[in-house]
Amino acid sequence: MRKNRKDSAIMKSKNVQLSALKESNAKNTYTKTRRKKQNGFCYKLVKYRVFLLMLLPALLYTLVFSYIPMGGVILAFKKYSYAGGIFNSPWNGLKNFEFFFKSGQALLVTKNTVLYNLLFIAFNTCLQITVAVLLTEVKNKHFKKISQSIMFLPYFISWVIVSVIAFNLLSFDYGVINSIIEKLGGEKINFYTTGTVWPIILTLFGAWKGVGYGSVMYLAAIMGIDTSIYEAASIDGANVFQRIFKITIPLMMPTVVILFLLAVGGIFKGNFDMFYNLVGNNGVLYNYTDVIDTLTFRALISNNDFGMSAAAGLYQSVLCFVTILLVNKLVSIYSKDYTLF
Amino acid sequence: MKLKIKAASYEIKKSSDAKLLSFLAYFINGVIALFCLIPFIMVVSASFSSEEAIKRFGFSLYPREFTLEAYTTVFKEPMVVLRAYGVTIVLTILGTLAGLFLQTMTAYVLSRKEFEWRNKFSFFFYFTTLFSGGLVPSYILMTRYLGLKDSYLALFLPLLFSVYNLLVMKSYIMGLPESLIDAAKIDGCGEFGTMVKVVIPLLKPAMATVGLFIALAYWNDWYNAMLYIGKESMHPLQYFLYKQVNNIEAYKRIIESQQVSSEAASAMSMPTQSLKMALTVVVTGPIILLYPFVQKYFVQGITIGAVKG
Amino acid sequence: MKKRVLSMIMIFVMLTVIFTGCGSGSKNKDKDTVSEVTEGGTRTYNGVDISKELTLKMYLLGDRSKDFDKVYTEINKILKEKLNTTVEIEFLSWSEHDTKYSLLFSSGEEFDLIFTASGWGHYEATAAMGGFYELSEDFIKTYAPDIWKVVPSAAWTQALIDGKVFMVPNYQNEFAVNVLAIRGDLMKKYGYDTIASWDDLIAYYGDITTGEAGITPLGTQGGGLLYPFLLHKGVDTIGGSPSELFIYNTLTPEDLSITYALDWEGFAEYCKAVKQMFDAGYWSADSLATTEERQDGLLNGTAASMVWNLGSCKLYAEQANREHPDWEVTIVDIASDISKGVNPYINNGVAINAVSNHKERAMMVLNEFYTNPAIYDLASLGIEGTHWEAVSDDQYKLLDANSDYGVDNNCNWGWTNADIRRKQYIENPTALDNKAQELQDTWSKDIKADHIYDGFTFDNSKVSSEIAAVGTVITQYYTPLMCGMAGDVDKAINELRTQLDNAGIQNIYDEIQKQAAAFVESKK
Repeated sequence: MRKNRKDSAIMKSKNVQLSALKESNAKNTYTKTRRKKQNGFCYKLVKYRVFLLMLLPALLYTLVFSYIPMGGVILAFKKYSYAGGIFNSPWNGLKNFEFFFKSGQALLVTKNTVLYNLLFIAFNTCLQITVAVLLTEVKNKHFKKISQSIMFLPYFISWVIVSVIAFNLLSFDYGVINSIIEKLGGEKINFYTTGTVWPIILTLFGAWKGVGYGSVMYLAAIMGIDTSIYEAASIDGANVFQRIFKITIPLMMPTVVILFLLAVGGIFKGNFDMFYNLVGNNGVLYNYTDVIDTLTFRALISNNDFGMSAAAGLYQSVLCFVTILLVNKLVSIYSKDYTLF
Repeated sequence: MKLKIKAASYEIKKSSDAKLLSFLAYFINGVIALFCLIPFIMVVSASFSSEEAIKRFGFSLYPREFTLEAYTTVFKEPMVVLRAYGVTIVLTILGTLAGLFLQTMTAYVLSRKEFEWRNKFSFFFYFTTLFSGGLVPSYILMTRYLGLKDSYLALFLPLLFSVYNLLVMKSYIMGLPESLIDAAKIDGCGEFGTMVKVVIPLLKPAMATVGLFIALAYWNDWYNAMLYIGKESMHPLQYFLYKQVNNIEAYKRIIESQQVSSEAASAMSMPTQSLKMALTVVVTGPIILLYPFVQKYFVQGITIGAVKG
Repeated sequence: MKKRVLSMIMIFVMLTVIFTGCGSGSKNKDKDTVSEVTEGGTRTYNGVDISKELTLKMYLLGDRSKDFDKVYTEINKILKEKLNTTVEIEFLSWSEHDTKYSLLFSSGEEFDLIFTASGWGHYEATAAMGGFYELSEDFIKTYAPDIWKVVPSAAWTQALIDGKVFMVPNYQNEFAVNVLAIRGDLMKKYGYDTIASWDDLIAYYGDITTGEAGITPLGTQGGGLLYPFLLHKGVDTIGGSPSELFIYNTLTPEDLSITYALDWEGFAEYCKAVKQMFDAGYWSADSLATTEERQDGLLNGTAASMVWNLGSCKLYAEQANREHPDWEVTIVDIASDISKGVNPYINNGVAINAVSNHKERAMMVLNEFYTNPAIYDLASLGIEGTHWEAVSDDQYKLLDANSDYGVDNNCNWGWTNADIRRKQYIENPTALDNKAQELQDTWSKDIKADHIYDGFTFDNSKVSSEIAAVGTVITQYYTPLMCGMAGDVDKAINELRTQLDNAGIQNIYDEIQKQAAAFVESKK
């Protein structure tokens, strides 16, 4: 975070006081713990006791609800049976992963998943930041509130219903879009057999559904910006666009980067609900619309095999894990403060 | 003279920039809002249309063959719907308060630069979003070891803590000027005191945002109800919607199997389109009304001068 | 917590029952039951000790109808008196059963009985993972002697998985025939008295396409003709095998070959035929993406026919005629020259949970549901005098309150028993009723000879990876072919063949043949 150097005089004096305070504290603790190692574990436990106490509820929660069930990943290597349960079912080697690579689609769906996610991340981030920045520029209070509320509406429409709306728009026989094309004397498009248009359709629907929800994040980040910086900028003669690009967006960066990293952490996981409901069982489109999650779903629909679904999940998790470690490392080179961990 | 002219032209330039920006702001947001509104209007008008009209004409912007039939079906047993509303509302309020407190407190600790282990702990939390044991172990944990089948806790606990919100919250706190926290330290506040007295008041927009997300998660949750709640009287509202809307999916799959007996096939009553839409409206309505309350906190940005040292 | 309290109460009740020498001294109204209280204070039924009062838990699929609990209170009264047992029913709604069915078994939840069905009702998958209790012949005979009398041996054979039975199949002879509900007014218009063969149907479809604007023969239900086609060719699919990829000649019992569909000449013939029909506009280009149900097109006037089983076709034909009497929708069988077989009995059934603590009592209770007419009528029709009234011994008439319970609407299909099932009394049969009855009668007169594979169900747990891999291929390469929407037929078939080969279809084929041979061997 670029430090804002426009602190008031009071602040500066505080800082001086504070550093003095810190030094004296350090001296005190040093004399107290000369015999102990300064950076010993126990020493730190005591030093951070308040922090640790504040973390305790979340730590316990995460242990119980996330780490204990995580043992279930071993199902990926087991032939699950009800009697044996998770721990006593027989080992199965890598057999559970077989179906995925046998399907002949492993590479394609993995590629699709990543490309779609990159497309969604890029498009949604740009759109949501634009909306958030522009909303703050709207002076009319009512317009601001109402348009913001309206943008939230699609979030509440479940994908099942969105698929019905989509069908009403895209249907060949009586779809709204094709009716318009016909009226204008054009050639009707058969959306449901033309795979190439689907990346656009899916992106638009995804963006439409997430715009209200996503822009709130950025809006909150903008609201957290110290207004005195703007005042200083306008005194220095910056125009409104400079103000946006030189101040607002750079100061939103921590939020943007965190959201970006969070999205990257799921880069190998497809939004099943969306793909399944909009594309459904329309096999003609699969080369363009099949993602890992929909493929797994189809594979296991006939026998709900926990081992295989765990295997597919593990495949995704490992890839996500490697990716996020890399990206997080790259971000940390740029700035330590922006990283996820 | 020269100076004056310069200043004047600068004024004009600035204002034309401002005008352009203002026009863009209204125009772009207006268009996007319109796109978001139209489908919702379709849903609302479909909920007031007769089923035949929907089948014949598809969706439209106004109700065709106006009827309240779908709503009378939804509220056929008003007590059931009202109780589901009650469950959902109470759950959302309690869950949001508890979740917000827990997540803010955790995020505050993880954002403190002097806490050396903060990245290790961040990773500890973040790791859970990457790897999960899947449905079976969680289900066994919840039902067999925690005994939460048919308990409201089964709806309350799973959503209490979200790593996603935690990290977003952390990024907002990181965005606060450090000098503020340092100042509080000088005034003799402890960590907890600093969080409550200094950080939280400055975090209103962020708290509102994250609070909204937690509330939405609780409001929209049908999944945990599906897994853990068998008693109809304990079902939250969203689960009614889910059951109706997704019946058709299950139905299609069963019919595809060709092995289904005619009794089973005919017993699967399909919700009409208008009923699905009406349920959507009923489920969505109240939470939309909540949004303006949240917007209240998106007012001015903070100013450091406002904080008394 | 609640469980603990419950179990405390149960223990308390048990103790009191034991100490007081069983309080329920009610006289059984049934004359032919063999329930007795011996001197020692134990109660027996058919020689089985039932002095312990039990509440069993049963899972059914679907949603609880409004009067369900009322009806089951009545059922419990009878069960309490007869077997000292009550049942508690939980529902897995349609929208969740796919997820929850297997979770119930994974979590080791204590319940006793559960509805199951071959394929969609998770029978094979659950049995393969050891979720169900094996029902030995002795066990069935001891605790459910009446069921043993009713259920035909073919049904038990169908239920075999790896040589063991895990469900009690239902008993009814429902014909496995896909018929068509067809617009009678259009038949008249184009001069068809009857449509009784595949060729008639295609000709009729052709006339509709050329003559009627705004009506397509099949609406958005492309692919619906596959089953009528298979029937017309006299082949059937092997139970438990993926989609329709493995078939046998169901009409010739001596033919024991199992054919891979892509090697069968009928396959390409069908694909080419439907390709032509699709190109000619027999169904909508939206078929693969439609959000419509089978009957929608017929009901809203955009389709001239619908394909389904007799019961459902009749139901929707009636509805269409109610709304548009001038349509004169009727039902046709386009394979009228072919004898029909009945559906597998394992299409509905009930199983016992492997970890149930009361397997014997569960079986006894199931025996009552299956064969006790009073309980059977309650579960299937509701309360007499409220939901229905009896007409003679074997028919019923519906009363107004019937909509609060429905007919065969509460997942009572697992114990369907044709011997004691009541038929609906129809006062003034319509042309449609007569037609449906006529078809039923025709089929019943000429039931096809049993083929040994009719009772064979493939256990696919040995090749689960291949089955899963094939599952990913089906929707993408097979379904579009079945609707004529895969473009060039020969190319599409080759593509499908390659994809299936990669997915390991050969292993599945080998396994099917191995199991089929073993099955034939065991039946000798």
